[in-house]
Amino acid sequence: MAVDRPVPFLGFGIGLRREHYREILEGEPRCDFFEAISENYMEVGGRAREVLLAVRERFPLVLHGVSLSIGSTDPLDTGYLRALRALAEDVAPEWVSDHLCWTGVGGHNAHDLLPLPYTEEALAHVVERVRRVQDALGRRIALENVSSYMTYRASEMPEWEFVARVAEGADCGLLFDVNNIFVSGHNHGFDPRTYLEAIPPERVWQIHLAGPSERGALLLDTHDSPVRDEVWELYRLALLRFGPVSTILERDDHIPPLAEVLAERDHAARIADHPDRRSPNRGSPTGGQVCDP
Amino acid sequence: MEITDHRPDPKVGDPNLDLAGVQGAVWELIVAPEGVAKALEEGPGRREALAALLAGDERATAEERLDVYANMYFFRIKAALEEDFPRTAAVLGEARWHNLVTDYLLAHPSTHWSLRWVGRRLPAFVRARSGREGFPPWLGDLSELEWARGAAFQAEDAPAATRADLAAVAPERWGELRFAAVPGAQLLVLGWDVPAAWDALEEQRGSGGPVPDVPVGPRTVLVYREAGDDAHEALEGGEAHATRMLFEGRDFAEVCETFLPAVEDAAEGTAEISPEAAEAAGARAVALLVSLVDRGVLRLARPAGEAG
Repeated sequence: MAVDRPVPFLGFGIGLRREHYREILEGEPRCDFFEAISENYMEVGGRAREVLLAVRERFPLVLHGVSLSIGSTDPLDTGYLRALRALAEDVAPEWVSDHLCWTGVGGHNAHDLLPLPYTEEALAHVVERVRRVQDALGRRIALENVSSYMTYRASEMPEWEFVARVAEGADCGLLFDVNNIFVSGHNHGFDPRTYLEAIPPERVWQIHLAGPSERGALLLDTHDSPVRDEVWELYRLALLRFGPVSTILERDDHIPPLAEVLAERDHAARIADHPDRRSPNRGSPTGGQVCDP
Repeated sequence: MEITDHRPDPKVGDPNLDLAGVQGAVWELIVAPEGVAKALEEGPGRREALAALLAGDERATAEERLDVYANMYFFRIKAALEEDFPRTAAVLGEARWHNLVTDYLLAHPSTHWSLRWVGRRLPAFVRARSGREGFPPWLGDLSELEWARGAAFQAEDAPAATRADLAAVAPERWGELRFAAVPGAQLLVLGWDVPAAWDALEEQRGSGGPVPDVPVGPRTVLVYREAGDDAHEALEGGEAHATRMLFEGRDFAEVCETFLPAVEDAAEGTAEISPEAAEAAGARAVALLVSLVDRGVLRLARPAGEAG
């Protein structure tokens, strides 16, 4: 299925983590592209910057931020935008992404991805800010759906409608995190396939895959474990709907050896070869709560 | 250990909250120092107000859901501070370190987009607690050195002066040279000889054994980055003073003069510096300059070609 997108298909990659720097630089990792956390390299020199530039020489690279705070009611941080633009000009990423969330308010930063209430007010607020950010950076950006653990009573629409309308209203891309819709579906009791079906395919620039952890009855998006079977199945369904999409495997805690992360990358690539084939070993995308599509 | 609660009353529960109001209400609860449950107990109507803001279900209550964020807020920043201050945290031990971080975040919540800067006020915060139970008098110096090394490790790149730069300057113009420190390079003046105990403090961190003795100072310490790694070196009196002058952009000729021997009758105007003494002072200054250039800590602020 051909979907017209403004960004190239980069294949299958992994998040660039310092635990793997040496192996990546000294070896020939089986990886189509890397994703770097923007803030780890903004206004930073030394070894981190050297590694990033060396990786960029050999591989396509995308930048993924965690501090844009696009949904905050605080003013946009112009210093942050200047630093991000400077980094993007230095390393020429294929694209830049961040999260559809807020990270702080009142001048303070939680360094966490806090979900927004899905209201018309929040929608208008985010759309206007994405447009200003894209102007400031001189490029369109992609926004990632975050996992969430709390539900605002003020919400006026489901998350998937909010996400799709942000992308359309701001004319930006989406970084579709498959694990996050699995986690949020589990935590809030919705069918992630409903979410999937509401996302316009041409807006999806990239996919994230990761593993969650359990806390009581909730799932947390901790990126500290292998991708779950249910998420692989949801990924297959996403590819059926979206067509080929550049995919990144993320690990941020309990980071395993590079070979282990690359093995998951390989698995993603194999699924993408035949998204129409459902593995009998794969779980239900809803963790067994909902029947097959 | 008592913790003072400076939190304003949460505004949750107002049915007319706009986006800013919702964010403010959530924020006040997730940064509560003793968790969401304690914060909800402390004010009348807070629990009802939370129920009006957030929904719970059979999986988890609204309070439990919010508590996920409260925990992530605190423990993510605590982990970042432990990366920046590993020895300080080890000396304090888990309980005191946990309470220190709690108090610190109440006084100095993160205001920068990067976690890298969240600990910038911690050395002063530790220093202000010097002498309290569990806070050795040198702990402020230790945290200051840890912070400076982290800053050196991550500092932005800048072109440093090289031996080739120096060689390109005619000898008669060297006196006009001026320098400045590259980003991340700095001199610390510490009251305690923390550098002497640096390795022992690292061993203590790994073993959890007794805290080592730290000798009384003072010590002037050069902190810098060399071949990608952060480093420090204690400097002796003359070299320390001259290095400070170089960092301040003083003419190299002035720096050379600091190495001249003291002359008792200089006030009489009759003193003379022997050629041998002047040559020795110059040689010492040049040796220091070359060693600093080799470490990559100086940039040329005024090449000889621009002197005047």
